[in-house]
Amino acid sequence: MDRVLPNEWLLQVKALRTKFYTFEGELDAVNGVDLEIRRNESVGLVGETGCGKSVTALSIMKLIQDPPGKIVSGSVLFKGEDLMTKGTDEMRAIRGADIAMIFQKPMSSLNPTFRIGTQMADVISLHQQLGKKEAWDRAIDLLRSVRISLPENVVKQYPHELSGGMRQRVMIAIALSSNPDLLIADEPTTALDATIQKQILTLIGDLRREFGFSMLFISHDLRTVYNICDRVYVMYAGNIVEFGDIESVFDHPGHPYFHALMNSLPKFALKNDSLAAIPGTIPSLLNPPPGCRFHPRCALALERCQREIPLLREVKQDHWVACFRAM
Amino acid sequence: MSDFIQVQSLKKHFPLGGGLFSKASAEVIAVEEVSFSINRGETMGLVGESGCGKTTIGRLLTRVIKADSGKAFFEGRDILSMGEVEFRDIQKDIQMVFQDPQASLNPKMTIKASIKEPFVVHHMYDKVGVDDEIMRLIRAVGLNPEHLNRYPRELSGGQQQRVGICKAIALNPKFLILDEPTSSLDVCVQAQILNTLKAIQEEMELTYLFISHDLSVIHHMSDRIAVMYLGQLVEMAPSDELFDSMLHPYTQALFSAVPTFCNEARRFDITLRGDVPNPVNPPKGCRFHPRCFRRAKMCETEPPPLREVGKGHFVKCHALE
Repeated sequence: MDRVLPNEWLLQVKALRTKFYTFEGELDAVNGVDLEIRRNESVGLVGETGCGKSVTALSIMKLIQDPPGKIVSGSVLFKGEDLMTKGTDEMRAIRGADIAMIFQKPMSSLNPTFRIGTQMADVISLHQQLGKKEAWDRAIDLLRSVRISLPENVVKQYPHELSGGMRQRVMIAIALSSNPDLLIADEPTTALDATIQKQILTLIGDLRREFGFSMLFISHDLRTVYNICDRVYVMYAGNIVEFGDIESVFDHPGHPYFHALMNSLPKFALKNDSLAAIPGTIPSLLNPPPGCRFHPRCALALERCQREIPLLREVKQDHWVACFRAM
Repeated sequence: MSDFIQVQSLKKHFPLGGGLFSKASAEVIAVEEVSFSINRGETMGLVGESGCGKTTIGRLLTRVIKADSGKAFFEGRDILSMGEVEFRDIQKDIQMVFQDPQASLNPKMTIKASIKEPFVVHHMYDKVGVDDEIMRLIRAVGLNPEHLNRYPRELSGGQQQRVGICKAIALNPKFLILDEPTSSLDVCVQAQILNTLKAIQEEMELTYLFISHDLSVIHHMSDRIAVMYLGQLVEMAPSDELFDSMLHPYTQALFSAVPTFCNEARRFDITLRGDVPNPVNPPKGCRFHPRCFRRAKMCETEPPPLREVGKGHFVKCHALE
């Protein structure tokens, strides 16, 4: 049963809409998102603060707090089953076991008052029928698999005794404890220093080869995503504006937004006096611009961009762009 | 060559523990024996990982905290040894922009009141034309007059940082210390802020000390770069020289940790082992030796000196002999 074709879709998100009801009005944080992940694939989700990356991930996990948020429509097919029809208990069994998640701040995901081993054993015995001693031993094994030296000592330590990189390793170990099919990593290295970030990314790459899980990697760091993902989705103001094969999207950005975003990065190769900044700011989702949500800041905007919403079109094999100007 | 800023053997240790009646039990070695100079109109980049002491240097130079020893000459006068009154005069010329723009603005003050504050503090507000000056300043940093009556929470992160820059340049300073000014911002906002900083530097003939952990930003902004590790300078060179021929193993590792795009050549592929050591008890000899991939026996006992290996290129490493 586990032998499946490599191109089988593990996760298919279709027309997902998540709204938040605030005092100022309702806003579409995720405005009809389609996203697909194959088995053994690493998929990046990039965009700026507030574009809806994290809300997309939380919606997939059905972890949107209601109120103020609500998944209003769409489906999330995981191994062919729609998670949107699952009840609370069923979702609880899926989370952690089949879909695991790691977050930006490992400190706030760990309980400061319990030993590392206790917290890990709790999760392990929740999803697998293991005794106390066995769960504790499994925790040590897992810490070893995330390359923590002297795991026998680390299990007895408290989170504050570990460095940021170590804590993130512990979180990864917990996430992998029940051998999930999908790992959702929400900015897992943003809070870490450059050399530690490199260690963690190398580790995640090694573990993917070892454990063979798929990954949804959420980040605002374009360089990191380019280096560890096979495909990428670009979000802007709640919409997917471009997606496809990583090389194709990064080498030939089709959407003016992603093109401008790439140009606004300082590059090592060419040192210019000024960077090509995108004028204006990201729109308020309470009152998004009509038509294409990027048109007020777009250098290539046409008259129709103000009225019509561009749909995603395949401009090249496995490279889709939501723009009227894209060829 | 007359140096605009000259820092000599700057040192700062923070006591750990210790209370009213007990002595401190240990010390965090934040900055040790750091010397560098900055020419007028130049941008000096200071790069390193968290806890390496780069922010402490910025705070020492503004006298927010007191140095243990060392000298810092600003236009030939040692700002660390002068009295409070004398320093108050120079303070106008040395300003700082912080990483978290929201935390550095008073939430209960309108933007206008915040920008006015430096004039009030330095008894310059009664002067005629200050309101016009404020108008000029906010345009220089890319804000509109309509922002003046708003509160910090009503502005985006990028706009808040523009207010922070506006406050820093209000009194026409000569030297600006920029402590991770774009680290909390998105890339396209970062690009806007970096452009603004370059524009006002040219217009007001400012000298910058640009502190960041982001090598691509440092490279974009700086004329010269100093790399710090555990409180010490390990390499210093003109920006292009450093990127073309970096010599210290730590600099190489730091550079190799930055993910690259395919059109950017990757010259090293180094993943360092272990974490940054605890600055309370830094390793003996070369502080980098436990993580170094080129360490020799002598690195464990003998701290290497900072030597000039090329014109203006300084490296603190034994492996280059």
